Amino acid sequence: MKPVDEEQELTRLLAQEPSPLTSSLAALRDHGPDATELASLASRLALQGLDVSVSQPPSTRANPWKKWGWGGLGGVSAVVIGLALRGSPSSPEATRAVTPAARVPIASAAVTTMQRGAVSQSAGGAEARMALGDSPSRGSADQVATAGATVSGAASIALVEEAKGATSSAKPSNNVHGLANNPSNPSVAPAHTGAAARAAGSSAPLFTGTVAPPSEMELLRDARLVLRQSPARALELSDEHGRLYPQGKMTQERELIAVSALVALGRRTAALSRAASFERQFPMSPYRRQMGELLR
Amino acid sequence: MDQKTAGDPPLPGLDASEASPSAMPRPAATDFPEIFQHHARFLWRTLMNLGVPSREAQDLCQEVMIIVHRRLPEFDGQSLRGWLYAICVRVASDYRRSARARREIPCGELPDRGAAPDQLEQLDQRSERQRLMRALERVGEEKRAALVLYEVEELTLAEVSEALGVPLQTVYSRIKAARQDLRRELEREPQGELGGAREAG
Repeated sequence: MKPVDEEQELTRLLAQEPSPLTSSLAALRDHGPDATELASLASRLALQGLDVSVSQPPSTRANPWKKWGWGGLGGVSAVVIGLALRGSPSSPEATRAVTPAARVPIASAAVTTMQRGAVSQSAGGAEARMALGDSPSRGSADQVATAGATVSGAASIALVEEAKGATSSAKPSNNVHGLANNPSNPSVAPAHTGAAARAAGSSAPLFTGTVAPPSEMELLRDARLVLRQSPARALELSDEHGRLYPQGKMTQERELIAVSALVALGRRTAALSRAASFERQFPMSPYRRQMGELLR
Repeated sequence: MDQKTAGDPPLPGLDASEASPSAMPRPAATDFPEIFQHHARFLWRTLMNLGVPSREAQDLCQEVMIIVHRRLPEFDGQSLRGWLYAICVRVASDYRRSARARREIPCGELPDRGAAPDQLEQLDQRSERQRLMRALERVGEEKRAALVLYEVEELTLAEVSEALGVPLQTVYSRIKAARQDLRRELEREPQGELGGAREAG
């Protein structure tokens, strides 16, 4: 056989004359995730502490309206609507009672504020939405991940470390968790999604029928935020996720948080049991290694 | 990085509407978000084309990205795609071994979302893809990986060599053999219902 040193020696099939084989191979190129699935993957990675947000171009950063526009507009709209409906100053409860559409920007703005203050986000890093569409054949729907891929995962601390840290330290800290748990911080508490804001110890039902339930991402993000300071609350939130989303897309993330919380609470037997159940349910989970480290 | 791919010859017969990984913009830096943005879709697709069922693809793609994140400091800067796909192939291979151990046959495909029943073209395409996937299942793991990386993902021979950890000559012979096997297996595969109906019509 001739030595292989030139790419042209092996002309690609798709560069040859059309045939049934080439059309079949071309079909494989359409095999793959859509924008929603990629956004879900990004969310899962963000929950795991892997930041996949992409910096926005300088032109975007230079425009303050683009930076604050949606969050600010949403926040102002929510306050106005809330005042009109309730006739009272906006409290966290009133804010949450506004329409779900209005709630999202508020939550996003709050989290962004929290992250900006706590983790020193880049200048324009107010919630970078990922542009995922680099495949021309996927169409415009894939050009931007719009399915809630708010992956401003700046709170990049691995769950394993959090859980271990929680077992060894109950000191208040200046990190994201401290902020989430600190009701005296006015920039965070009033506008937070609600779950973590109540993490200080309330045993009241987390969500009532009149309030739009938080999304999976919000619930688990809140649970993760409070994991270090209040693993019991994180466990409650993960249980709440289980009640609200029994067939949710982030079940694995929930279980990882729950096991982390159980370990942090010193409930090793329960943690082992839950981890074993997780292993049976998700034998190929990417979290197996983390789960093993938690229980080591 | 990606110096090895810089000189890829243009592919005649491919227009801009086709998803060509080699035509996509290359990340300027090897930071994790850039890698995710530019490669996640293709790594996911490769996992599926290497035999990972769509229901497992997200989990395994997540595993790939976690490994990438963990090992990124070790990346030598030579060929990012070769390095990424090497991880991808390893994860898919591990999966297939474990799947075999669990006596599962990873050939099923979940229904495509949004494919209305009257969209004959989509159904036809899906049917053709399933037919090819069944044929690929019988090609053999090593040859299949070489074929998928070279023909579908358009890696260079050198990148395929790096991804599979075998010499260039071996890559060459595997691709050639895979093509022969695939043609033979496709002849054995019955045409899809739509394809058959169209031919009959």
